[in-house]
Amino acid sequence: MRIHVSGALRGLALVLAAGVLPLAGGPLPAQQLKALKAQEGQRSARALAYASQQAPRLGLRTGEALTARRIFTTPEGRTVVRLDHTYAGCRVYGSSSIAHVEPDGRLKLVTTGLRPNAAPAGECRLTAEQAGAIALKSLRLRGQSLAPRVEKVVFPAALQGGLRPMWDSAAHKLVMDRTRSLFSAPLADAFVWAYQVDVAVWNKEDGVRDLHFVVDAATGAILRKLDNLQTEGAPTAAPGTGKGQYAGDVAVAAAQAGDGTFALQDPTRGSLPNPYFSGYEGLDITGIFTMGESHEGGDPTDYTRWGLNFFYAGRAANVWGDGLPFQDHPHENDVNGETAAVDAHYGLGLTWDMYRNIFGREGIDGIGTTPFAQVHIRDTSTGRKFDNAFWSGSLFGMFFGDGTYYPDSVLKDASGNAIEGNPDGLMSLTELDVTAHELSHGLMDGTAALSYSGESGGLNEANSDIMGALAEAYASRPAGQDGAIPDTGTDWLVGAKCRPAGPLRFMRKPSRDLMSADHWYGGLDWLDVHYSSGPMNRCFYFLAQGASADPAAETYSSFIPTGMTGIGNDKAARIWFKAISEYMTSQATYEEAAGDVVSAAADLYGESSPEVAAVKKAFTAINVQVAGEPLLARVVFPVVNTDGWLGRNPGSMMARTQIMPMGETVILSAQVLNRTDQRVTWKVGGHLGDVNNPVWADPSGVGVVNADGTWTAPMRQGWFVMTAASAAEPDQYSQGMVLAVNLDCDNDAEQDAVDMATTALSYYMPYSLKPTASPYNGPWVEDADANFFQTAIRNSWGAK
Amino acid sequence: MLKSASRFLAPALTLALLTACGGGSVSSPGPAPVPSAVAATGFAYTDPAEGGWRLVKDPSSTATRLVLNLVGPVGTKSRGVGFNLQAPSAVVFGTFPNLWHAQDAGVFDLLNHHRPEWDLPASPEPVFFAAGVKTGNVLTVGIFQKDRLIDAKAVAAPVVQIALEFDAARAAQVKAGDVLALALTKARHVPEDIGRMNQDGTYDEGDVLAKSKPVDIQIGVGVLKGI
Repeated sequence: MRIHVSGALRGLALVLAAGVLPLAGGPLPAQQLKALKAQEGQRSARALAYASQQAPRLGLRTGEALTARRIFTTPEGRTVVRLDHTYAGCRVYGSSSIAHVEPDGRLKLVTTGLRPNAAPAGECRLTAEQAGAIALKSLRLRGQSLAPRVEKVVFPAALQGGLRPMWDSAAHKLVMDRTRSLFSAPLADAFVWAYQVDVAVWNKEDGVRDLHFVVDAATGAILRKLDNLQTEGAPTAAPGTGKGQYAGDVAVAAAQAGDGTFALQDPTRGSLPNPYFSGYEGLDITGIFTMGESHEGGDPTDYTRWGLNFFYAGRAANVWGDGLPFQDHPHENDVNGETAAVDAHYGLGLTWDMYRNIFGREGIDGIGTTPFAQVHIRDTSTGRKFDNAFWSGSLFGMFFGDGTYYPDSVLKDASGNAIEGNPDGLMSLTELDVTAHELSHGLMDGTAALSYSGESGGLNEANSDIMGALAEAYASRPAGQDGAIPDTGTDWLVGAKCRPAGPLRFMRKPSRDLMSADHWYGGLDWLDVHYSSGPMNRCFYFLAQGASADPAAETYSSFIPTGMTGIGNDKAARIWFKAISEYMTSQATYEEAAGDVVSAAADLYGESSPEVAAVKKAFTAINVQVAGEPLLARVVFPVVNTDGWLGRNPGSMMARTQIMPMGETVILSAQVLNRTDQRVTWKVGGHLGDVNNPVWADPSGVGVVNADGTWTAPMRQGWFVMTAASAAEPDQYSQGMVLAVNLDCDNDAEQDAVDMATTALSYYMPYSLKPTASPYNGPWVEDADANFFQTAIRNSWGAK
Repeated sequence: MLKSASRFLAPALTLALLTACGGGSVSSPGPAPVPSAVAATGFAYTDPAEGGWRLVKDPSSTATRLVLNLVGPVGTKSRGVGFNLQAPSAVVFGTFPNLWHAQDAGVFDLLNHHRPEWDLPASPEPVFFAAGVKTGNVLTVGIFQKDRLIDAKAVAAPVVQIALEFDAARAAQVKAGDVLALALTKARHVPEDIGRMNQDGTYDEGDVLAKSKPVDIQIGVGVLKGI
């Protein structure tokens, strides 16, 4: 739903009193902007009052309200007020609105992300402590976590989680991803009371995790689970020099302490202390800083973190790094170890400058809170080198591994030799676009806060990839031209330098990695967020750089065969940032994002501008429906069993999941929307994401699609990808998943309800004796098994 | 996306099915069919002999919807029971308001109450209760407790209900007086003794492993006729 509500001109007097004339388009003069920022409190209060006045029109009922969560004023003078939706004073999870107060006082509400009429059913029987305990218990932690943060919320059933498959590269098949799957019964009501529980874990036994749960306040069931770990004395400023492995010779924004020594801390970027260090460590560190992990200690695999981290500080000279790849332990804190720190510190500062100079934003949260970088991290569970980098919102810092490309000199094999390097592995993940990528996850936390799963998760990842590419371009700007992002300087590849075997992602043609999607399709949200980002990356490239009309070119899109002209990196960047900071909300889909980006472009360049037309064309090029454009064909699966596990939340992924007994025959059914030709072709198996890509084809058989339109599943457990494509427009397709379970738990060669006896007995068994009489080969028996029996029997043999 | 295609498959009433898979029983032969030219308009059901597990007619039955209760032997306690019942294609297995092809009669305690760390009352959760109609018009029903700490239940009262419905179209060839053979092809229950578990959480491993198994049972089925 998108409702734009224009306010009365009642606020004009306020603006005029401030001496600010209504302006359209570009940045305001500094004095006018300062005056508007000084009025942020009053302007946001007006916005809030207006939103409250409009509540009935927005569908809000008794007990529901909108409350201001975050306020900022753009360089153009628009005050943006992000509004939480509440019921009885508690936030409605995943539901929010945005109010815009223009310089002339006009008001607008963006309600794309609002889920009104949210009165929850049921009662709140758990305490916050119980909810936190349930979340912790489900983690089966071996070490300690930080104290969970618990918030009572109203939870929409449409956001309930479900089953997730993952690719087992050893077994070469899809298996259940137990860490991300949820087995709770579907909610019968549209909204329920719940607790949001956030748990940060940072220890040797469990690694670094930043987990987010929603726990049903009535039943204790976990309704949603995400890992928010988004991968990849006052000192004085003292500019130094450094050699990075990727950045080369660069200026280093360092600091000089009272004793005359130097540190990788930048007091010129960051005005508020890092919240983790001030909150948990009692250290007030203001100004971005870079740390390392030393790995000292008697046990070479003991990478206990605290006490072994160090600051790059205490140096007599303000010269850093040797520009060479990391040589491994024990060089973390010497000149070679400084090299990765130089790259990370440089990337952090450059990205900070791009936010400041292009987007008018002070740091990732807009108020100057200090982030940090930590290099040389290892996998805290295995002690091995780490092929990843990540942002942790809870710690407000980003972490970089050194990759597995080189042999690991710390861990030895049975013969005492260093563990062989991985030819497909990475080197230190401190390349500029990776650094900007991770920092931009923090930016995302402070703007649209796109939820890290499904389509919104792909958009979140795309934002980071986009910012990484833009940071590369920004780094190439001519001296003195800080106010624009050049059109050159980026290769539109993610991690091209830090992975010798090839880039991590290809923004121009994402499917070149054999995992990512090039365009939107039904079922895109099944992909890992690093691959569902593909269409948005490609869309942004088209918007900035254009698309070819040559079918042989990798920038060609069959959805716009004549190609398009790009509007340049700088304009595309400003439009995108405005969209994520002023329009997009946490659960945005690609289609909603398209609307948000169109709105942002219209704000900056006018409704009828070439820039708006380019945005529409770029989204069309990735098969996203843009409002007002000709309707695209869409293939959809009907919701089956509206009383059962699949149908309760038709907006959720479970609506496209079928659970059935293996070997059964079922009717295949799909519809083509917006077209009279309803013919559909079916494909079973293959790669999630690309109907024609056989890389994930299952060698052990995927059953038979019969001539009568039915599918006979093979006699084995497993996940199967079902793709229905429009026969007339094969580019239009939708993918669902089938989980075939083996109900024959009593091994009598027949699947039936009697098999539940054996499974129930497994449930009865003392833990140490539990046989694995699970219909999906679970390692133990739990409610999920009862769920699977009920679902599979109902779906295949239930009432029709 | 998918719907079961079982309704498209020809019912397979094979003798092999009647004798397969452990426990079960076949309905008593009953009287020989009385030749009649009158098309049946409903069902009549004669309960099997008293004693043992058996399917008996519920008073709520009508001529076109026969509701059968599964009852167990007097004095027996159980933690759950399941069975497969095959009927001729002329018989339609009916559903209940829960949309399953069986109705929990409320004897078994299906929920897991053992959540001391949460201290919660019983709440909706997935349970080991399901029923459906497989290829060959085989009704499969299962209802089992899942919490070891919950006592086994006396089963002399009805534990689960099923329904047989008369459908004029599917029963077009059935004449009044025709016997419609019902075949119980499999039946098992979970007995009261599933191995000793002590209050302190200790257990006798051998005892538990030996007894934590479903047990084959015979379920008596009455005679179903067209009327």
